[in-house]
Amino acid sequence: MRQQETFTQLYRQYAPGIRKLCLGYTGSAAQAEDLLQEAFMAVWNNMHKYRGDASWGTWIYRIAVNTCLLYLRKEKSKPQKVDTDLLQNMADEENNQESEVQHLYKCISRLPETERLIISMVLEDLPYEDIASIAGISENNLRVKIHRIKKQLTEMFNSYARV
Amino acid sequence: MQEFDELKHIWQQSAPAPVANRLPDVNRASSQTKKKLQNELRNGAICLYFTAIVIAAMAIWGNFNFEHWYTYGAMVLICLICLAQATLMAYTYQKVKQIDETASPKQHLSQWEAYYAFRRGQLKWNGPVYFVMLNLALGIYFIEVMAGASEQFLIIFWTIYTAWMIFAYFIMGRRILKREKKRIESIMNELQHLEQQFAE
Repeated sequence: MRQQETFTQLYRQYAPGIRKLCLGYTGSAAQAEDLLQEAFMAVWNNMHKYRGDASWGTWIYRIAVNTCLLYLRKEKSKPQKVDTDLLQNMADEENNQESEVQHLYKCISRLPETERLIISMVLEDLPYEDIASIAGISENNLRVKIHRIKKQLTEMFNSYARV
Repeated sequence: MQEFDELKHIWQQSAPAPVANRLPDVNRASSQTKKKLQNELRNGAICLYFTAIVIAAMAIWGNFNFEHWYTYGAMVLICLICLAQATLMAYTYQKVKQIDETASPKQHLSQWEAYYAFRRGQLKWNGPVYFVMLNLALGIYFIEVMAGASEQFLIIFWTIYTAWMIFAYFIMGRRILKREKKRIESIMNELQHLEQQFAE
């Protein structure tokens, strides 16, 4: 199969998940789109390096994670403390199911950088083994992190629900 | 009170925009840090190699008929400085190229950190050495080229030349160097901060 065909197939299969990962990371649809493009350009440029040691999915997610971490450095976006006034305004503006999704993305984007990426992959239902391989950490370490992030995110989301 | 599983349900319900017909244009100029840096370094090196070739060609076939050997020596020196700087840029290009985007995030971040540590070291000596050597060579070259000029012209020329060099080195150069150093330090701090998150 030609590189272009493989790439097209991979893009169609993994772009939706990677876009969500980027959206969770940045909290902005425009930036997520930009990151998605950058990540897949890196995939294209590195396709010759793929040896089949991990699945295409793990390999692509790893490139996307690396792209996200460097992108942040350029954009200077830092995790922010949840501002209840801001959440109040957000709650006033949007009141449907879509708003819940948006607020979830906003809450995720307020976590520390690596935690955003990990929790996005957990929410996407990626196996823990794959997430550990993508992040390059042990599965035990990952489980500890996930437990902490889940608690933090749930609390953050509920604090929005209360306002 | 929402539980995490409910958050997962919300996340999975969110429908991303269709992507089937929107493949990224892999040929467009990338804003990626790595690709952008590689392009800048490669183009810079090519320009300097080209400059060295043009100056060498002028020295050999230009029929300048300079009287003094040191004027040709200055041209050779300019060529060598351009070649050395171009080679350094090519070496830096290779260093950036070797950064593996498919490595684990921690390794990837430490590769970038190593690159910026290299750049920080390079910053200390490369700019000043390049500047001093190039101006020394140009100064030698102008000795014969300006030999026929009037005394008044020479005074004006050397005053402007020296003033510009002092301004470029001590004011502009130092300001740029300080800014670049600050930028690199800030990048390195952020990279270390990210690396630390993986270690926690």
